[in-house]
Amino acid sequence: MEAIDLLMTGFGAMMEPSRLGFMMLGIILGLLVGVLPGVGGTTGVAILLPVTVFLEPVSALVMLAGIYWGSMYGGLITSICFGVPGNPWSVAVMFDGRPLAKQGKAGLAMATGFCVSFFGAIIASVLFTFFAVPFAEMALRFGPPEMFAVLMIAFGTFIGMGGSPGKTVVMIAAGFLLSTVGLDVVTGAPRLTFDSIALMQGFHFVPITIGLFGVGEVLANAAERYKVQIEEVTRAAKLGLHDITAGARAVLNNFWLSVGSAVLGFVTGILPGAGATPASFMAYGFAQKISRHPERFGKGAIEGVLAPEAANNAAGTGAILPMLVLGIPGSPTAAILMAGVFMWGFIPGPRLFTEQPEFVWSFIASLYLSNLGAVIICLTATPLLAMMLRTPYAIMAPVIIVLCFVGAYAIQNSFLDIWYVVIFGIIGFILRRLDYPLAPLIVALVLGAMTEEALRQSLIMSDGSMLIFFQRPLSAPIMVAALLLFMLPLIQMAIRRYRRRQQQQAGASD
Amino acid sequence: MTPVWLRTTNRAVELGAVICLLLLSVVLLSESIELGPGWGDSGPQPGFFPFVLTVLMILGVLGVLCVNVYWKPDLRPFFEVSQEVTDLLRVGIPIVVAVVLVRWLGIYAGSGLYLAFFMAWYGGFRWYQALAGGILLPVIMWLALREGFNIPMPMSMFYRSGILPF
Repeated sequence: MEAIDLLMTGFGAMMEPSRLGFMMLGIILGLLVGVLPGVGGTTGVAILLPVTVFLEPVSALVMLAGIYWGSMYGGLITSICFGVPGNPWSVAVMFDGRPLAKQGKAGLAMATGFCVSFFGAIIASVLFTFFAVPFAEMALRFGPPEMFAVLMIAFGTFIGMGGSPGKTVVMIAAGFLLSTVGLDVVTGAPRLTFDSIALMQGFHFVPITIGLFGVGEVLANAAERYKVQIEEVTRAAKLGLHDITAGARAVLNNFWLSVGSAVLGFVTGILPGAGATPASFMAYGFAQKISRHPERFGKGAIEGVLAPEAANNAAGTGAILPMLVLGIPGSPTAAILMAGVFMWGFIPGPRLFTEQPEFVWSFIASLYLSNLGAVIICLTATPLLAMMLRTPYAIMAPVIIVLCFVGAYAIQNSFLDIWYVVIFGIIGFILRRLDYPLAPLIVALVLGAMTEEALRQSLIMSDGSMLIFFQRPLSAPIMVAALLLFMLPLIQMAIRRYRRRQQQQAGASD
Repeated sequence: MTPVWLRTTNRAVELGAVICLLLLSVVLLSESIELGPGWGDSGPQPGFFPFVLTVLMILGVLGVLCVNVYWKPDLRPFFEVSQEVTDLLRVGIPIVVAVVLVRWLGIYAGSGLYLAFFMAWYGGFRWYQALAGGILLPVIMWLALREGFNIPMPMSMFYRSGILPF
């Protein structure tokens, strides 16, 4: 097949030592950037873009891509070990990864995360290699109504998640409300700002997430220290190579879940505007829905680590596709990579494939190689990373808090965000103790702005008619699927009651 | 006579949370009515979503009120032992102090002092170990953030007047 020939040329071009060297350098830098909370892959790529001016185009692109991939793998580490999400797409993996770490299984969680990240990225790369053009054409037909429909599916997967329904509704509403604070998306008027300039910048979800989960976690641990000490649990657990094999085995045991999450992530990543973050939440929600033991999620279910990680790495790959093929970036980071492509004198788009095949196919080859490099580096480092949790609490707690401050400030250089971290930390502690589920709050906060924007843009397109979602050929089936998902808990309840009545009738007639 | 913080039941804290949320909802309702809670010609007015969401939140809160405060109240104490409260305060208050420190002394000096103090006071490390920690952390952070990635961080008041480089 022509694609395989071209891919082989790409691999050939990549095999030069200097290019491989730049790729490894990029991966290591990306890991460091991914570990710093708040400084996600986008910031890292943006900061290091000027450095690559001096390199030749292929080396520069693969180094930047290495940084991108490294940060996707690195964000996992702080999410699992400290409960502080390293970047937006690492929030979902924290829901089950952090409880696993508290049970002494940090090495297993990280190894599984790295293995499935690699797996998801490779599946996405294969889809990229062979189906680049058809997927790109699909991306072109996505508009606000389709975006809204996809986001409705994301919410549909979170409805009916465990816990008290009243508290879940409160959390979802609160998350949406937090996302509406600031300037209105369509009219530009200030909303819910109470005439305060500070509130006009709105609530960025990173300080809130770092506060609720990171600082909230530190406070919750502090209160529990008379019962359980994490460094003791980790010291008791044996760390070593068996974690790595256990991680690989976990991926193979849940093969179809990993494949499904990867495909879901890839498709979500292609959509312009949606990226790894909604993909990870959706995959988590789906995994819980189709699991045989949904109540285990949130307490250390390994599927809760597999699904979001496969999805977010696949989405990261998918986001590059429309950038290269159409010149439309699929995510903020892809936009920065695109700036790099322009900087080196190329114009992304269909002509890039025909006029600069060496560039494009070396890049696609580097997708495979940089993932391989990243997973090797990460897996070898996993026992060392898990050993970090053995550090005494008196050193660990302040370091985590300082990391939280750094992450909060790095977003928009606003000291107010550091105060938010502490305030939401206290709120997060109280919410945890009262069993208010935090996950729906974060999902609503992260996806809320996108959802409202998509909805209002669609309504402007249709002059106020809600039927637009069902009139467009692409969004109609997605909306129907989303509505079914919303009604699923009710349908399940009805089926259960019907079965119970059948059993009662059968018992009565005996 | 058990102190008041050990007598607070889960039910009491739930009630407190419900009251706070209801007060917040009233404020949000008035704001969103001001912004226009209806459906305009080209879709929802700015206040529509805040209004609907606040109403949903009130419904949820009322549900929580019924279930957790009246029908099935959890009368176990919120804090099981006194040790919980002391540990929480011993970790929590330094965090707040650290924010103030960072505000005035910048992140590098502030975090160094915070770590050194916490190691010595909470962890019982010797003064030279705490000092080592308090110097090592800012140095690593400086190398990574300032020299490495050039990410701006809050600087001390001495920086602003040019006395110190951090």
